[in-house]
Amino acid sequence: MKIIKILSTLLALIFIISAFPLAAFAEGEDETEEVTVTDTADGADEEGEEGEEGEITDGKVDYMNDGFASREAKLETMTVVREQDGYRLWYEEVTGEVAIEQMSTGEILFTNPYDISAKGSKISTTVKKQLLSQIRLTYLDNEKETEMYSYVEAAEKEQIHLKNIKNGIRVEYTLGDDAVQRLVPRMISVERFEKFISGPLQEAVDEGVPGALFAQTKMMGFFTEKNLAKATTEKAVRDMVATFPIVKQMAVMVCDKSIKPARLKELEGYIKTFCPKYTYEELEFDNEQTGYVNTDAAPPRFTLALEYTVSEDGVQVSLPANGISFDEEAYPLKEISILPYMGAGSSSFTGYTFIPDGSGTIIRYEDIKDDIWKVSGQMYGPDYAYHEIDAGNEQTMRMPVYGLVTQYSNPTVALDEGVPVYKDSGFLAIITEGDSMATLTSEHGGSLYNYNHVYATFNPRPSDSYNLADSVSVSGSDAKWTVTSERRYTGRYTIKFVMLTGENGGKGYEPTYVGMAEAYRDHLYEEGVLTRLEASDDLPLFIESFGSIKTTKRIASIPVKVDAPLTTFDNVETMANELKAEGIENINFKLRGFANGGLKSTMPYKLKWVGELGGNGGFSDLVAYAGENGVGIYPDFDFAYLYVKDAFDGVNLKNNAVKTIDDRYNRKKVYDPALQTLVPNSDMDIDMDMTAISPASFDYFYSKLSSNYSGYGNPAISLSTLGSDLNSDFNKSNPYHREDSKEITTDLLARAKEDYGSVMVSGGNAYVYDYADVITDVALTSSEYIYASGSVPFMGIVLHGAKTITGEPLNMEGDPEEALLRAIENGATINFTLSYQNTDKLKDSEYWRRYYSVSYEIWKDDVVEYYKTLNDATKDLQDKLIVGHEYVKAKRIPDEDELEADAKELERLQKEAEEQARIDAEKKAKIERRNARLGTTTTVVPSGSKTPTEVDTTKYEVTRGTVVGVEYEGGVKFLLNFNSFEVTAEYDGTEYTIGAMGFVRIG
Amino acid sequence: MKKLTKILLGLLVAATLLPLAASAAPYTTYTYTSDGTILSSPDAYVPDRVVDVDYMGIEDYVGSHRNITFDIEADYDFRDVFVGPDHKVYVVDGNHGALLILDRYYRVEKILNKFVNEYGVPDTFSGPTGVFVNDERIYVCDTDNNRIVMFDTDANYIKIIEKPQSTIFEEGSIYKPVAVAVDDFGRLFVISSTTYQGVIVMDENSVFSGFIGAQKDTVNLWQAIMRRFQTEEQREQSAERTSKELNNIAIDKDGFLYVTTSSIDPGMQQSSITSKSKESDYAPVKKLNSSGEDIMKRNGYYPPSGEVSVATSTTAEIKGASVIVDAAVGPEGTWSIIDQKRSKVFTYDDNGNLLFAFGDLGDQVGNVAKATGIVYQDSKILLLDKQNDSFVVYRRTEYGDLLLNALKNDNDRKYNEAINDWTEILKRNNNYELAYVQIGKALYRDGKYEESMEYFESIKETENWSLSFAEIRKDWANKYFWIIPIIIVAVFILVVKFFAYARKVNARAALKVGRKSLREELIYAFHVIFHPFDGFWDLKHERRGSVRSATIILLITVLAFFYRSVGYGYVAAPKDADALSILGTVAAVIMPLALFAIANWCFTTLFEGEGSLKDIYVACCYSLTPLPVFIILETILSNFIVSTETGIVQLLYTVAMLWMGLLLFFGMMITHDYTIFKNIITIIATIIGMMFLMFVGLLFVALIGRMWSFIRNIVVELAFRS
Repeated sequence: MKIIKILSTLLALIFIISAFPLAAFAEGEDETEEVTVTDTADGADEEGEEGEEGEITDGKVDYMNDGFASREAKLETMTVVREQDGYRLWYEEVTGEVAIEQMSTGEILFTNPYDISAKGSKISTTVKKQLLSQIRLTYLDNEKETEMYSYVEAAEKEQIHLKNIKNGIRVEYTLGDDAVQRLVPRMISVERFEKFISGPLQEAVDEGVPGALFAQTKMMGFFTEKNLAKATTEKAVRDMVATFPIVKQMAVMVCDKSIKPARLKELEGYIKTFCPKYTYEELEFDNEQTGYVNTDAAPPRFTLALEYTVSEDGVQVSLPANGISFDEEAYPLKEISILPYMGAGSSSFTGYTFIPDGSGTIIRYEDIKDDIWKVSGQMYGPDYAYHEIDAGNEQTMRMPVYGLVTQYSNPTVALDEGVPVYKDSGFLAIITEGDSMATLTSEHGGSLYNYNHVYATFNPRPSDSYNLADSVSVSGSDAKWTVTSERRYTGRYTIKFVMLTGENGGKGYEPTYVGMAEAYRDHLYEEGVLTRLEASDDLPLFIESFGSIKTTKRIASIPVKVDAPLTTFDNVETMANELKAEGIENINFKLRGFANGGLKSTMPYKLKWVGELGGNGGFSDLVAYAGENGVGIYPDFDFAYLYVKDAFDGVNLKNNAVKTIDDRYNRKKVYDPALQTLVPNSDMDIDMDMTAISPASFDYFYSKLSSNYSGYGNPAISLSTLGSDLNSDFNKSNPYHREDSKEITTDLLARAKEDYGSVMVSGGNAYVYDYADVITDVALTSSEYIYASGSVPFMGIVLHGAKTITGEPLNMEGDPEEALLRAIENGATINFTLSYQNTDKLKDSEYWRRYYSVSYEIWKDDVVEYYKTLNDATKDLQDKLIVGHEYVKAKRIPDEDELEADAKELERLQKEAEEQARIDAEKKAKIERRNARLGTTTTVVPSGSKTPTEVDTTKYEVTRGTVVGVEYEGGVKFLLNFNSFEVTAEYDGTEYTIGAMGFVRIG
Repeated sequence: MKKLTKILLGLLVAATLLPLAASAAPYTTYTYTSDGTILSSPDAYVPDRVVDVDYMGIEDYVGSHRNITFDIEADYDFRDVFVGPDHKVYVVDGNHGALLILDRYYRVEKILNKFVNEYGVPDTFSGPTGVFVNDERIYVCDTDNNRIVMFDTDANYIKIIEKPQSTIFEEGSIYKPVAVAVDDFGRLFVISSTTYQGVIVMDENSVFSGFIGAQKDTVNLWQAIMRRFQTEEQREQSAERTSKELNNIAIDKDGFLYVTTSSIDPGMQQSSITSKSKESDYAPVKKLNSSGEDIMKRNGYYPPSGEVSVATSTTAEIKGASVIVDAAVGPEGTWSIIDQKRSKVFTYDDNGNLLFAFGDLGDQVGNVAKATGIVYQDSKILLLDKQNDSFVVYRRTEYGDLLLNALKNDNDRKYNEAINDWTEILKRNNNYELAYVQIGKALYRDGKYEESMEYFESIKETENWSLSFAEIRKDWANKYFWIIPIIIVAVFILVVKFFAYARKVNARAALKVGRKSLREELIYAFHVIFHPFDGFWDLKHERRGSVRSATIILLITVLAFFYRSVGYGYVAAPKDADALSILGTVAAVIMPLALFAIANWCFTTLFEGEGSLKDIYVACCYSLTPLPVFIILETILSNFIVSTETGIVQLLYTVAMLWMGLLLFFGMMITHDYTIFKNIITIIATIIGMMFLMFVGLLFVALIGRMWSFIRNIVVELAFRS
């Protein structure tokens, strides 16, 4: 607390001081070496003496050194290029920076931080150049990843151009150098070298032309003479002839072979200045004469464009993927980050970045402080067509959004009022195109550059590496071979930026994560993806049941594989009846592993309900029962993975399975907690190899299955993995990238929705929202990174009121009570994984043994209890949106002995105060006596110490984030306590006591 | 430097992590089966909170206590964490040279970083590493000052305990106390990081009373051989290298010490786990009594030495044996160790059974980057994370409570209550093998033998199963004692009758002219096995057997072997014969036989052997006759034995094999009309020939494989490079 106070005072001081005209501009500014345009820098220095910091009168800006005191100061160096729909686009023509101004509020969103060179900035020039970039791309140079920043590779080379397009602007970038032939002879006969180059240079030196001596030294440093006559040993002669056969005919000057392109350019400059007689014709002649063939590789060069278009609800930034051009053979493009520093927030202020990690997480600047940290996640989780997958226990990012909130101060206001005024601003970015190929990153510069930023990175050319040792006989086990897919993404990457200004056309998105969620929610409603849910009387309860599992049984001591029933169709009815008898009305079952061989099933192609569970008749009966009793039945079919291959199951791996980049089948990998790495599932369970199935085959299998399944009176359907997994396919003849897969998946879901009415999926990748009615296994927390500041129920805020969502099965949670609280926080209902019999059989399978406690009999009472608790609390809120979420300050209720200790402490303090008062009184009496004696009027300074009446109780305050308030539409609020002890919290002026892992409903 | 590493680590963290799992705890809790595969388990502990410097409120404390000099800007270096009897938490910060005393809710109560010693001189710590607290005293290992400082529980200085004076200490040896434990009699057990003679035992007046529990310096054969050729100096050097210093210590309420070490050869450490060794030679954690004997019970499936299933491939990121850096004593005889390499906590019961393992590397709440210390705080576990300057508090779940309750009832010998607990645990975690054993045992004690066997069978347990089975067998034998003699007599009569019949048939067949019937040919086998010399002679010369009958004998043998593999008693083969295939059995019997016959034929034709390939084949097959008889008998009997009797039954198999070997030997001798000496030579040659044949066969297969992969590689490379 104290430190914040000190900090804020300091900041205030800085702002007040910096607002006065300062003469000290040049002082303390180091001469930077890398000044590209010399006269600009000089001019800036001179002007800077008088001018206000950052304001340069001749319009030239020194990008590395000019700090801007405010956003407005920065805007003054930019030009307005478009004004439309209530937004104004500002453009900085050298750096390519763009600022978006919302005219109604005056809020500004910069693509790059404006105050990188503010007073006291310790950022190095290299990093500053990165901060001024709008594009960061990574390419492979000889299998080595190399980065390029648009400021260094385009702005400094004056290769950024602006064009006007419909509704906006287009900024075109050329990163890297053109392959140009420099006017520098690489091999030239000695006579001609003297005549054209060294001669004129010498003359210039003699004449004392400035710079000539330097040029000469430089030039001679790169050229060496190769002259047989001057070779001293026989070996030298042999070597020389071997490398430069031309020396047999004449003595030559050879330019250093490993000369860098930049140096070449420098030499060209000298030649052009001092050796005007040397022309391209002469160069041609030299090359011909010496037989020199240019073998310089073309330098990497990328051209691409960013399009900023304005519409009423924000600004869209778009990068057409097919407009990216480069040399694919020599420099394969790996990834592009678009606007990596958009709206970057300085750590000197408060604020946070938001990423959709699980339910969503925010990372506060003040929590991360000086630590350099970066967290990224691939949208929609790992792609099992890849060899290179790295994963652990983290949550998946399922919504293509990210955002940032930062505080800033407005110095003009500060001047008027005398105190700085702080305001929050922020943005939400929604990836509307190309989302499945994105990786979202929240990056924190810490002590390196003091900014916090969040951005999306795309890979336009899916590529993967594999270990050559696995497939080809190459010595050395770690030889990697990277191959790029034939199938490239030719659409666009579009990011829509919504500014959170508090009063956006009356919608009022506050600059908070709740505001972000509301903005995204509105976006989805407007697109028609989400529609409001019709409420039922009771919360739906979901139960996932397992059908049967293959086990080995000894019949006459001979082992035979049999289907051991875990839950028969009759059992499902029994469970439903029993739960109904307990007063649970809205029950839904997800039936997993009931058909085609049970849990270890063949591909859904034929539809054969397991005989041991009741067979086809059993299922028909169950459907009839469910129809009569209002029980939801969702048989689950997995199109994304093949568990067991069987004869006549319709699967032809060659056609149906996902192929990796080296043309193999790939299996879904699972995290092995002992080895702490991913292993193919077949290593865990030989009966379940989980080969990834190509999206190309989804339709084929679905059609076949559907023709069988639709005969049962169209009950609902569950397509779990289609909502959680997204795999591409590197198949040579028919490759699919993730955007293709996404499209196929949504097409299939649309068909299923049409055919069966209600569709259930798990996970909840954003592209399923249009089709899925129930989403299970939604993340209700974030990954809870140590550096992150807490989980926020972003997904819940967006989805609640439109979709029925559930978290992980409650009986598989480490702490079910906490999971229940999370359900309330996210507006989710609950589900359980329960089977009726033989659950110990799951233990024999290394894959299925992870379901160690799924017996209905054991959990029945808990199911009823947990369900009723939740139902009573939230059943009337099913169709209400979540409108608020906040961390509430709360206090732990102190223990007896602590109260005792406090009382003692208070006593001590009071005694101390009394003692002090006594001393003061004595002093006062003394002075008064002296005054009276001497006739002076020394005033008595009152000691100011008061008798304390209570001790400091801040130590009882709980950690931020452990007590949470959620508000639903209609004013219903919940206070949730995630602590394992009782707390008291003040909320809306009332004090509430909340039990350990408990909640309070208000309203 | 620390800053820099932090930055570097920060960058390392930046590697893109793709997400997968989703449960409250960012790790999976698990146990092991007896065959070393993991079994997921409900979380016994879930992360509650991360307590870092901010949480402790150090800044506020320093701000409000002006008399303290504590540089809050300096880096922290948490080296040890301890919980006192009053649940206060003590954290040692090596960099500040401070002991942070936290209240039971982890708010700083006092920072102890300076004191006035008995000479009235202000004194400080230098690089303290360990702390121990009991009801009266706080002991701080002031490592870089080579001493231990003692305080009372209000952190008032009492005295400095200097390095113990002893002649046993080597000249010039350095004393660096890093961990200390104190028993109820005030004896100090000190771990010094540079001392490899074991735990230093002394009293608070620095009176040295000895070393205990030195890690045995075990050398493997190779090292022993090398030593013979080494100079004195080299030997000394290698002794230094192989000497095993301890790294931490914990003491339980009975005064037993848990000492840990991370300097054992990782290969040996791991192989002693995989070999399920109960010895302490390569155990990274030992339980010592006060005289230094290892009294740890290692009765679990695997010795309690950390991770069982470890990666061995060189490319794996985390591989090899666990690095055990600290131990903590929990309630009810449970104790935990941490594996720094994997950031995992392994918790065992008093018998050495793994109760659960949890934890993972990473930067999520509940995972730690570098675990350096562990301690129990009532029902919580605190795990110190050196890299993040924090400790993670884990709270016990309902499942954990159940587990502990069951152990408590077991310890208190309240078996009936315990059985309820174990049943309850099994409901929550039907993977939990220990629960099956415990329930089974309890049922056994209650005399419910058959039910107990079910529990043992479901986890493939044999020892306890045998005990129950023995009881059942006893009951049965008591009930049907009359049936056993009847069976014996009946079998005896049958055997006698059969042999009489066989003799009759054989005698008749001997006189019969011309081709013998199949029955006669088969029955003749029983003559051969008892009278090999004339049996084999007649077999060949009198045509008493044929290829037909020989093949039938061979098939019967194959079937017998198949029966053995599927019908063997539970005790000796508790596993489900999942991967069983009749083809495999066929190959296992026919392959060696065929190899022998062919190899033998090849040699004997060169060495004037008189038998043709057919003769050899027939003789070989007839030699097999004892096998099916004994194997079937063995298999039947194996279903009626307990584990101690397996040897007796397996003896039958050995006898059969020996008998068959002898028959084969004499069969060959007679068939080829060799002398014994010549026969021995050819048999040896045959065996070599068999190996040669196998070698050629393997070579051929390998060559084909090579060729195939060569062609494939060319195709693949062409495909990729084109």
